[in-house]
Amino acid sequence: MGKQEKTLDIQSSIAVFRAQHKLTQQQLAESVEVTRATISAIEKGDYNPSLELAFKLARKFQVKIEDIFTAEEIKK
Amino acid sequence: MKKLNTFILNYLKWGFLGIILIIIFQVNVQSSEASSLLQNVLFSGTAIFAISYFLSTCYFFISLVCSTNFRERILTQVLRIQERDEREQLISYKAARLSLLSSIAFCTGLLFLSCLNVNLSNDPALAKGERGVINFSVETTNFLKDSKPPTSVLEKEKNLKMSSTKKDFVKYSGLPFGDSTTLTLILLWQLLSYQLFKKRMKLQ
Repeated sequence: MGKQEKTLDIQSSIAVFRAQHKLTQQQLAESVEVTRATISAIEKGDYNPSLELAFKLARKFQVKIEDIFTAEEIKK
Repeated sequence: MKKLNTFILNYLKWGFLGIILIIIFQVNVQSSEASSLLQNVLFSGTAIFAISYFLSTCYFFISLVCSTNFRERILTQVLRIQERDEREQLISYKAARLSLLSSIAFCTGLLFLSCLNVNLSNDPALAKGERGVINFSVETTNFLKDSKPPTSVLEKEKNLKMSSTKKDFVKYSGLPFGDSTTLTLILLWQLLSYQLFKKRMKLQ
């Protein structure tokens, strides 16, 4: 019928990196200056972080942003 | 200025207890017949306290309207607005936006109700086949203090009053609230809608 909208489904692997670095959500949150709830929301996929926060997280884990966040195109 | 504001806030907060004590004291003084020197001194003291409390209240409300910093400090505490990071800022923004839109819709509804007149009456004395009168009108003259309904409405009402058998089923003329009630309703609506939308945003 109508046009199918394409959106980006952003998924993060913060939980994996966090486990590798043996960090709790609270410790990671403090190091990137956000609340624990925000880290939890990003891990669950409920919240997409800003570019600034994404860079902070990438620097914290010493990886590229693309290694933490992956974007998959989905049709609605 | 900040120190003065903090002092006034604390004075209002803790002074409220004093106001309650004054009321209790006044009741006791009125009930007891004998008036001593101590009572007179206490009475003067409480009067000075009550006046200073009233002046502080005036200062509080004027500052709330005029001072941006003071307003920010007080209302963020009252509304429990938390903006510790970007996610909470986003939640706050979305909740404030939804709250504003719903408040405008609510105010528009109240304005419409304040202008609406409805009259549903049964009058057997009317012409054959007509049993009653349904009258809907929207008053636009409510903004003026000495507003009068249009002449046609007045004439109709006069005619209706002349028939003694007329019985009103529904008579609604304007919003049945005082101005302060309406303002309180709008304030409550804004407070509640903000909290509700904030919760909803957090759940999403």
